[in-house]
Amino acid sequence: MTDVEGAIRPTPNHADLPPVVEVEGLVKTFDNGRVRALDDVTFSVPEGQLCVIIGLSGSGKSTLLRHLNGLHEPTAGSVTVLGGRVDQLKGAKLRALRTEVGFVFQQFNIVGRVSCLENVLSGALGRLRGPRFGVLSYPKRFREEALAQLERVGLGDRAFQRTDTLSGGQQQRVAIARMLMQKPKIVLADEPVASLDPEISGQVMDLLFRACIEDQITVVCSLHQVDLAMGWASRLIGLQDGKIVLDSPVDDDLTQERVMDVYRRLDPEGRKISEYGTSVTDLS
Amino acid sequence: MVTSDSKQQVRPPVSRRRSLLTATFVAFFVGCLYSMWDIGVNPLTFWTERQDLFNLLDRMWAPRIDEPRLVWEAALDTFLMAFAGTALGVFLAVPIAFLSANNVVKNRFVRGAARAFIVVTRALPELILALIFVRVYSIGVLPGVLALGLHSIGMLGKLFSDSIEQIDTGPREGVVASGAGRLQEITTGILPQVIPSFIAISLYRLDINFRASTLLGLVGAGGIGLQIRAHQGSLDYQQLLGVTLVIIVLIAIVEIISSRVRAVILGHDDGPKKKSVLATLGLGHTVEAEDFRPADGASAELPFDREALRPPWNRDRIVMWIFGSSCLAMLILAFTVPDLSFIEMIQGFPQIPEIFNNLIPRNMDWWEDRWGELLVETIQMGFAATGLSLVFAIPTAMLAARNVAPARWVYNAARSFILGVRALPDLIVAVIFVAALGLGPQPGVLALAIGLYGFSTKLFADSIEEIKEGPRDGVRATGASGLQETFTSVLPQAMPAIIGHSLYVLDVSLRASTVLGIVGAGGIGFPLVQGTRLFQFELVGGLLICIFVLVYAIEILSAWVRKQVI
Repeated sequence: MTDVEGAIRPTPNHADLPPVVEVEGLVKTFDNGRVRALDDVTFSVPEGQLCVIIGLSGSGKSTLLRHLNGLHEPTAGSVTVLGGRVDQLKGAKLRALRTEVGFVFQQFNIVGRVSCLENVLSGALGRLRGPRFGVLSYPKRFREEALAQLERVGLGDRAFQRTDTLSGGQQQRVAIARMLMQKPKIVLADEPVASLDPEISGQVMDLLFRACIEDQITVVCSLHQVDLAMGWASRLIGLQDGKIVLDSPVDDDLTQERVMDVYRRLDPEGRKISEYGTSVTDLS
Repeated sequence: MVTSDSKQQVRPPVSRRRSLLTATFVAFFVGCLYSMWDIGVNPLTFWTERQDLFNLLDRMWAPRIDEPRLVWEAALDTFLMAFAGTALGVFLAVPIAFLSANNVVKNRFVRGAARAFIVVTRALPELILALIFVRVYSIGVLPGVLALGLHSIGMLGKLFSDSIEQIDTGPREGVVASGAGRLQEITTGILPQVIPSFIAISLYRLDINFRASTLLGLVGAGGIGLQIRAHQGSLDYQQLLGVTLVIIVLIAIVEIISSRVRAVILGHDDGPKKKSVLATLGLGHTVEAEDFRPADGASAELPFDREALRPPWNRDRIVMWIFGSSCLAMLILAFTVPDLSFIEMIQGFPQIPEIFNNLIPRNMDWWEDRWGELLVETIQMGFAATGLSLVFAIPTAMLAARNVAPARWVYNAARSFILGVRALPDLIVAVIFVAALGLGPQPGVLALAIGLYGFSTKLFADSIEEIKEGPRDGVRATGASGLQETFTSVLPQAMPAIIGHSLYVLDVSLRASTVLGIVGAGGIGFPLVQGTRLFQFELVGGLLICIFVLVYAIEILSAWVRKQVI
């Protein structure tokens, strides 16, 4: 993994390119306003950027990502993706936008009972009309394409194996192949390696970011592991209690300490507690 | 990175297992289609025969009940008959279930014998058992209780033994490790784990037995079915409809109560998990000061407040006590209110072996070629009713599954509709259809299809509700439409359950087809009933063996298919 890191790190400055994701004053509350998951979040992502969102569990990373393809509806604010207002689009128009936005889930969200190839094929549903059931219900051209994507993630020999017989890392690679099959312009990845062990995590991240760079796909990815984030991202956004507390390009100015600050939490009296709650620093 | 290898096939490889499965499915579909065509029913029959059905409904309107007191007493008798029958079934099934569980009994012979007994009781239709017991005890509630009890062993024994085999071994090892004896191991290590499911299964059976008990009167086993038979005989369709409506309402009430109580006992998915029923009831050994007496004989004192030794009277415990005492009260009622006497029951026992002995055919004299034709017709009726019900059930199940239904009101409407359909006992519908369309297999199949439709829709909808939501998000995120999402992420997940339940529907359908003849709706049921009325026991026995072979064959086939599609 170490040998590729430097080699394919893209130039970090994308600011001059047009934004493909624009989030303005996004607020999301659950339970009739009792829980404030996102609090006035504003940022934009230019084309081709590899943007990583970090933060503790419950800081709003998943909620934010799920707003970007309309799996959640905002309480207030606007979300514009590829020029379309995700928060206002409905039905067929929202689905058309989703076909341009790939999503990689922490829990893979593939259908375990069917073959790998069929899971990859489902990435092409946006390009097809009508319901499909079984590998043979997809045109041959699509099946060949899906097989090529499976080979790209190194699982060409598993095409007709049941997906739930694969290991976790392999299942996530099938999910990545499905996302690539979609030919997206943007990829949203929600903690794609959180349920994998460290070594496999590195391999899967490598695969995901490499493929996205090859296909010139913009990436917005949430991550738990700071080292992986620093290694891959061209920009880091830190979330704490639904607010952006860090937004910086990954360069020499971005010290480890500034990043780790995102992982401190506030206790109710406004004091900062370290993540493990051992030392308490009084802020007031 | 795409190698030349990628010219490799993009079709699923052909395997023996896959082709066998495909062949089975094709056979199933062809079987259903051919049977529907041969019997002359199809999904449009309800529409094409609407004139006859409307005419009958016209004659049935308005429903009336001339003697409400009589109907009320008959209804109570019916419920108590079902209750006593279920109690008898549970009483007999528990020991048999333990004997047939592979983690309790190691002796394969004992286990095999217990399993065989379970399978045999399941294959004997309760109506036929009732007919046989009416011979011994004459008309009344008692033959009904015995028939229900004996037939219930089949399902209860199977499900009880499954839940014994599924227990967590941990607590049991803990009990063994503390030096408990063999019986203590069962009462402390196994029973607390299985009692909630035993109660839930028994309640489910009570629900089924109540449905069945409304029909037992058709063969003279007492209860409200006697009234149906009387009104059918005198062509008094208005009263027939009146009594039928009473039955539907009662069945719906029993189902609602039993499913509520089951939900409390089994615990809701999100709530705190199963709790020992014995503990909730506050039963079992209470800790006494004696238990804490030090070995040297010093004065014994409880290390904590005495009140703390008893479970508190919380909502759960109160519900359980009310439930427990009403069960006991009903059991006492069941053996006192109807004309049911233990002495009579025991006096009749010596005759039972003789009757079953008479049932064994000594030679093939009972066989006539038309029995073969009727058996084929029975199988066709089973397949036709299954096919007909599945055509309607799968789409309705989509509307009745909370997670797939297009809107909340659609879901509620679909669920209420199913509940209503499920409360229609199929034999009563058959009586009505025979009256409208004449004798023969056609009305039988239509009636059976309606019953199976309600039953299978519920099973399908429940299993669709159990699928994982993650894969749906995954497919939705690719920009798939609602229909595409359902076909790509919901159906593949629900498939094993849908196939398993379809086979179960076929099994139920075949068994029901064997008794439809009782009301003149075709198949082997007619000679079966005539045979019992005319004391041709060898004929009855021979036909029962044929039915048994048929039911058993379907069971083996469905076990195999289920294993392949998990």
